[in-house]
Amino acid sequence: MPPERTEASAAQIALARAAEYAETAIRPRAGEFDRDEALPREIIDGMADLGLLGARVPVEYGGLGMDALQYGELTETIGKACASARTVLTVHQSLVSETLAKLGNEEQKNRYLPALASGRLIGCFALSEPDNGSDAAAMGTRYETKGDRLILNGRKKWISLAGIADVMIVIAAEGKAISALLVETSTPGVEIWPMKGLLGNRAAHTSEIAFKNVEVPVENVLGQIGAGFSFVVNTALFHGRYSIAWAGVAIGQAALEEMTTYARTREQFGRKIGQFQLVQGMIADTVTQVHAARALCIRAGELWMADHERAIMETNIAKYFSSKAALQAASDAVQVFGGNGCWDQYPPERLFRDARILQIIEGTSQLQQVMIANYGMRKYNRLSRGRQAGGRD
Amino acid sequence: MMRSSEEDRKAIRQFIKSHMDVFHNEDELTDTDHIFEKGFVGSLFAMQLLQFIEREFQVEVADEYIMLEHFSTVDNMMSLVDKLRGNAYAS
Repeated sequence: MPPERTEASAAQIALARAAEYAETAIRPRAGEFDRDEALPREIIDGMADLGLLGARVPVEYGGLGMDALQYGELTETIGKACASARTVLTVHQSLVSETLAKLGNEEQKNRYLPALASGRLIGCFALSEPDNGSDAAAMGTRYETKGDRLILNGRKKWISLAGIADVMIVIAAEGKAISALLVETSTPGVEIWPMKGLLGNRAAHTSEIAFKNVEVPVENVLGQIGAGFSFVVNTALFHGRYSIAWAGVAIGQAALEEMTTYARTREQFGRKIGQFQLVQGMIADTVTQVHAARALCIRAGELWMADHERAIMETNIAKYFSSKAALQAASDAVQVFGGNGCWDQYPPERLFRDARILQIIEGTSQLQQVMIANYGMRKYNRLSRGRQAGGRD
Repeated sequence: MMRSSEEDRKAIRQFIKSHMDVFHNEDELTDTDHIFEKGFVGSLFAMQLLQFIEREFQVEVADEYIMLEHFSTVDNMMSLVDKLRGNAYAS
């Protein structure tokens, strides 16, 4: 008896279309986007037309309602084609839409999620500042409550997509209370200017923002006053780290495809360079690293879908590992390409620069190491009474 | 069978103890200790506590309750769970 055929879900159809779009419309032009330092609007609109800007938005708000594993596959698919196009998913989708869906009130979700899912609005997440990255306690962007208005002043920096965003989640403080505010970029007093000359993700419209007496209605506070860091930022960064973990797989896979294709065609000393064992060594290491990174990401996704308490830590581990694996893979791709690997007319040079960024964004590798080490000393030590050390769970 | 209030407290205490900073995890944890101010856990843990409360007690924490204060002590978490369940035995 033939297996029963089931109708493909909207999410599965979108994944198949995304793969075709990524390979035909995005990947061939990724070098051009990088050199122009701007992802064209037509590419973002093309992703929106496929429903990808609402990938993780619940169906009732106009999204595709993808599960974590489907979203991981989508992130790899787009990220393999272009890191800046993948940034649209990480920022607009993981940091903004998914966080809004989780922590927004019904009025906020109804107001913003359908527009974000359709791509009519683009979102960005404004946390980092000129003098402040991961240290939220040192937040320089401040607001002052005046009746039903919050008056916002300060600066943000390194904000991906800010150059084209319509709405942002801005993290700001009043006294010791850190809050998350939904701010539309058209609000008077918001100034945004692009940051050029970045190492990687050059086409991601990364910008600096100034807020000068920007009036924000109190109903635009996302979550509760004072819950901006403990809940909103931590939730958003968990979503973001999951996306960046898959972004590492994406760059690793792209590097692998480039190096294996080149090794089978490039000739030296009368042989294909893939016939030399030292080149094979780099290919073997890259295959292994990419498979391992993908396995960690799948594990993190499965735990997230099961609402398991270890999903957060396994996501940290996946992000830490895959960002390292991506850089090594891209570096080996440069090596296999030789001189051509050092030239922007071939992909490895761009992959190498884009991979380097992954060890910094959404929490540096060093921050991940601190959290992973603490987890390891807690879980695997032999001192804890009544608890067996080790174990593979 | 529904657990007693004391069993609920024990579950919360155990969850916190199993996530305390590795060099604090032998410290005594009382039901009134502010777990963030005492440095037992970092602020990242707030989100894990939210997920734990929802999973363990089969409740949905409405957004008006998603504030650090409700997750800062075992007592406050018990009060939150009771409120969400509509119970009267909140301390």
